[in-house]
Amino acid sequence: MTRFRIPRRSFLRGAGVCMALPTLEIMSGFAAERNPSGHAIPLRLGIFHKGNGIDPRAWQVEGTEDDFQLSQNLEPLSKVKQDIIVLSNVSNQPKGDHYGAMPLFMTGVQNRNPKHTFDQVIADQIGTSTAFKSFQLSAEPVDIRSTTLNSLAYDQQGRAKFVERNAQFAFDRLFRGLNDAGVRGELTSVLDAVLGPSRDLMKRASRTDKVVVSNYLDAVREVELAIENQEKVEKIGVRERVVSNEVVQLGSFPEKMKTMSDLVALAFWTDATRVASCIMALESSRRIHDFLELKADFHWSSHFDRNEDLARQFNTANTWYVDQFRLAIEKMKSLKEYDGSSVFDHSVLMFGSGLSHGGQHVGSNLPIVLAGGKSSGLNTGKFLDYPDQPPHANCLLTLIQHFGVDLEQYSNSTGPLDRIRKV
Amino acid sequence: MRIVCFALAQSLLSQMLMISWLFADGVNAAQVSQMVQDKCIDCHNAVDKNGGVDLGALLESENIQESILLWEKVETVIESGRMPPDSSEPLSDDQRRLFAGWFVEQFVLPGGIQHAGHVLPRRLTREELQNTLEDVLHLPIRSEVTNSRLHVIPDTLIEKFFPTGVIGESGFSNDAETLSRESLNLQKYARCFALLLSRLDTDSTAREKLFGTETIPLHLNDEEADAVLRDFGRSAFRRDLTELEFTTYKKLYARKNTTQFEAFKSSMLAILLSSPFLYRFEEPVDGQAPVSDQELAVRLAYFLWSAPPDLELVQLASVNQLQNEDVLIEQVDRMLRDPKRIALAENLGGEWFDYKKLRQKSSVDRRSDRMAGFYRTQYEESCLLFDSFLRYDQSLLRIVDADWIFLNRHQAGIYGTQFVEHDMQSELSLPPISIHFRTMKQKVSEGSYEYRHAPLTLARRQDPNRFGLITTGSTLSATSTENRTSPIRRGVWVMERVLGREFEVPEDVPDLEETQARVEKSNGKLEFNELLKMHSSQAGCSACHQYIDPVGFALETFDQYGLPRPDQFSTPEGGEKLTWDPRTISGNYTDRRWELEEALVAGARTKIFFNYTKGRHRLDIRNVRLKSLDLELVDEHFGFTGGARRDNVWEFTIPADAPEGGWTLIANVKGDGGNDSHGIITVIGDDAAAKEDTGSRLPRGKSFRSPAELKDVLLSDYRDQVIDHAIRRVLAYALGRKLLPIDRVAVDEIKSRIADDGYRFNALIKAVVLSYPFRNKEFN
Repeated sequence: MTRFRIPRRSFLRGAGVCMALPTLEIMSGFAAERNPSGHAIPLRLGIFHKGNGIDPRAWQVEGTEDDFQLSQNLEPLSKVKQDIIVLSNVSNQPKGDHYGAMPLFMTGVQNRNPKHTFDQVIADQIGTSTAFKSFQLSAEPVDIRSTTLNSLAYDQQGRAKFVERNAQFAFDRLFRGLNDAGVRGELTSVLDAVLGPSRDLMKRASRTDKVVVSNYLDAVREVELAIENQEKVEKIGVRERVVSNEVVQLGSFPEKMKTMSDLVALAFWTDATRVASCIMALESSRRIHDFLELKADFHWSSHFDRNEDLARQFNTANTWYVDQFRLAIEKMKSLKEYDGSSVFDHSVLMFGSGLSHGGQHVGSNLPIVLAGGKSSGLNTGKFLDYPDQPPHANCLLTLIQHFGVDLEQYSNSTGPLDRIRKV
Repeated sequence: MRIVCFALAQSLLSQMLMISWLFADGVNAAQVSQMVQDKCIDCHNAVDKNGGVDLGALLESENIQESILLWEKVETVIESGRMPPDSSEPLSDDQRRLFAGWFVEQFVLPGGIQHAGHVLPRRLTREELQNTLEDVLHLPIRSEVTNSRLHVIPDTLIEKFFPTGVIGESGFSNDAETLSRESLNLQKYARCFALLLSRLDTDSTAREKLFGTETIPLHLNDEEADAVLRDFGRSAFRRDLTELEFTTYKKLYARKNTTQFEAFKSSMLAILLSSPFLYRFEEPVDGQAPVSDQELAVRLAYFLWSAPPDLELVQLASVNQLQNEDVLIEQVDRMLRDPKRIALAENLGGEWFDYKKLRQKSSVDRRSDRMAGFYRTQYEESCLLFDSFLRYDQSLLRIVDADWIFLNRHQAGIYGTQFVEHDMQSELSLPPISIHFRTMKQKVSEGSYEYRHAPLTLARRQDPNRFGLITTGSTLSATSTENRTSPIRRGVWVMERVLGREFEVPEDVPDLEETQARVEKSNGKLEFNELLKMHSSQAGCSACHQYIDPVGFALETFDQYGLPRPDQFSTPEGGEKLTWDPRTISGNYTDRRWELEEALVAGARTKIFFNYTKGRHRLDIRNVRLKSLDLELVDEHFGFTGGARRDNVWEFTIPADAPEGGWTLIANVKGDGGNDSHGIITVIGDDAAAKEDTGSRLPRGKSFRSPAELKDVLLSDYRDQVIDHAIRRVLAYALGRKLLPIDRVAVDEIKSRIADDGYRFNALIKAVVLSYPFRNKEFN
């Protein structure tokens, strides 16, 4: 088998042209990747969120910690049962609405102005050396009614992190953008020129306006950091992983979904980022899953108490999303690190919704599945029930601490959850 | 902020309340505080938070912004008489006047003067960015898609890079505060602008405009190069570059070790990524001051065009002529004649009436091209309708009852209406706007179709149920999903967008399903409408639903695509069924009789449907009568079997003292072109028997049954609210922030100004431009 090794520069010179490259399997097959510094493979966080909640009858798992049956919704995960943790009775929030559901999922409270979602707490710690501190994707379009419908991640100042909806752009940003030294150089000098006048403006701005200018300066700084990190990475010469543009599939929703979750996997593989989230279905999703031969729109079917046929449609759709999560896991398993382990082995994934009973907008006993590979440090293959209904922030705190952030308390947490992390 | 400690003598809870700065001045303040404590605190305190309101905390609050909102709510409930509740003693007239006066002093005219309010620096919205880049770079971005051969407009380059804006508290996506809360992805801007700049490689017109010559490589001397940079900077920043700025960009330009052309592109990229380009900054002042001429030009251009000021505005500003009222009015006239005014229809109208949403519904990756084209046509109908209010100088009340629309024959056919041209006579008539896209499918050869451009033209509406924006296709589609309509969403749409009533989503909504279960337990079965009525009639729900439901139900005659419901096409269930032998039908109108076997309920309504079952001809009906003894009831209108809308239904109200039995149905009918018409007649009595069908009603005004009657009520009993709300919307759009009590002065002034002008849209726009908050700025 011929070893293909395409120098990155020449690949990128053709940027804008979709080059047919050897398939990924061949690419990952070649050994002897340079790893002179004995760089440890980092742990990553991947979040997959699906709006509109679930039908507890189809989701709820029964059994003991080690001996449990997967429910109808979770059936697609049967092949990876040993790699997942099904949580039960996490979250004690009252009934909410769709606007507060994503904030609940990401911070533990239903809040229309969320701040510092847990993935950003982790990204602040582990994202400082990658090109992207964190990367946000969405398979769904924008809902103009509220910011909390469109973004999972918010920074410490409560600003919604940028969400990429265009798969081609996401690809370009992740795998082409700053990889070219020429591009980096150009941007650096441009940004230098940009800072002076803005700082001057800052001095003259009124008190309230300073917030706006400092947002802008933060944005500039973000790009500078990304450039710095990329240069560091290149100096160490860790990964020359080339990703084919064929991964970008447009067209039907299932293809778009697959593309987005593939991008998460590839972003981890190339170490473009270590914290990524993907919105699979908006809280306000009214998508008609015609490819599953369903007729009711997603939100309507979430009010499944009305009749059994709606419930059937709702459960079919939800099971499909769980299956997409399985695809993401399998993709990550198929991407190999230099020592033969997989991307999945070094990842912690979270799938779920900010509502449980979708029709009644219940905010307790959230449907959440964690997943992690051999080196993830998670106590997988378990069904963990927490009868005292701890706040969801406890689960988030557990993950925060798992990623090495030195925090005793997060949001309204009362302490980490036991049994999630391997001792 | 001074905080005054105010020890209370008489409070049932004997609290020591720290009264905030709000009450530090004036006798009024102390009296109001006392009044609140006497009349309100008993129910609205930290322990008994009735309705979730703690007025004790409000009196102590130091956060002025939050307290304004809550005090506005207090003002509303006091003014409407809802508080104190019926169970308590009402406030005296003196007390109400006292509160109102204090409110004005504190929030409407703080310090006794009018306030312009502060707006954060406004980041350019996606639409503004696109238009600005077109002007600054002299590159076509928008037109390259509007003339495409596709039947659905694809996204422009900017639209691909930047997503639709989220609506802010002002009701628009150009809300400065919402824009400032989204994080800026500068890398994305960089990539987008770099791509655009690379187009200069091939666009010679743009190069000519930017560099004064189209030939590359460039060979400009130092002086010329400086001029290029300064001019570009001035155009981008909408003001002259400061010396610091010029030096910085010049340094970048000079440092490039490549061609002059590349060096320019580099420094242009830097200029476009700088904050004075991406944001609209205004020079801070102490307190309040009029905006400068240049700032006024920017405000004006982005208001009317969502684009930067053009040469004429810039020149007027440079000689300080723009602040002159006559000049301003002249400029508004000029700008509304310019095709760029389409921005008002797209952004102001599109977000006010939510038809902008249809652009997403018709995006390219939909599975059905036909549906995409359909929604896109609906978008254009409303866009042109809104524009026509400006174009034909119409009153803003036409929002409710305009008797015209923009259609082509194809679309009219889909709606089941006839296409009749309208010849709008108007003293003022601005040039038309055209939006090109493909709307009509045409056969080009066997099995092969092509979408052709079929422009929408001014058509007359014939059915009053369809007049105005409330019942345009876009509204009816935007408030539905593909499977079903939502009367609640339609009701809320009218309330929020026409009357300006805001609704808060309730926290504790009992499930529709619970209500249903309860009903079923008692062996009942309700129609969806009635279920909703029960569900919404719970105390606390009715406050909002007394508005939402009647409106929503009246609009239920239109389905989720804006088409009249096909109910009338199919034979209704139940009732008494009659038929006729087609061979006995002649080609001339004659009376036919049927003896009814079933009784008709006295005091109730009876409907008679004529439906088609088969045959080559339809049955035409001129009138229908019900006769019993010497009582004869008549419903006279033309209709035919099957039929569209309601013209195959004849309705009667049976008098209370009428006999129950022995009725004869007489219809004056003929065969349309022949006697091969088969059908069924259904006679259905209203089940809500013995009860007059009073229709629905809003808290004020007569009851209404149809959308046409609803609009009558809106224009007669809610006219003021429609006008007020329209003014508030346009002002909020122009200012880029939500309106506060300080803006009431401006709203009142605008209202009286345009009253003299028949409340016309163009007058409204001018009044907004001349208003105090538009011409002044405030910093704190």
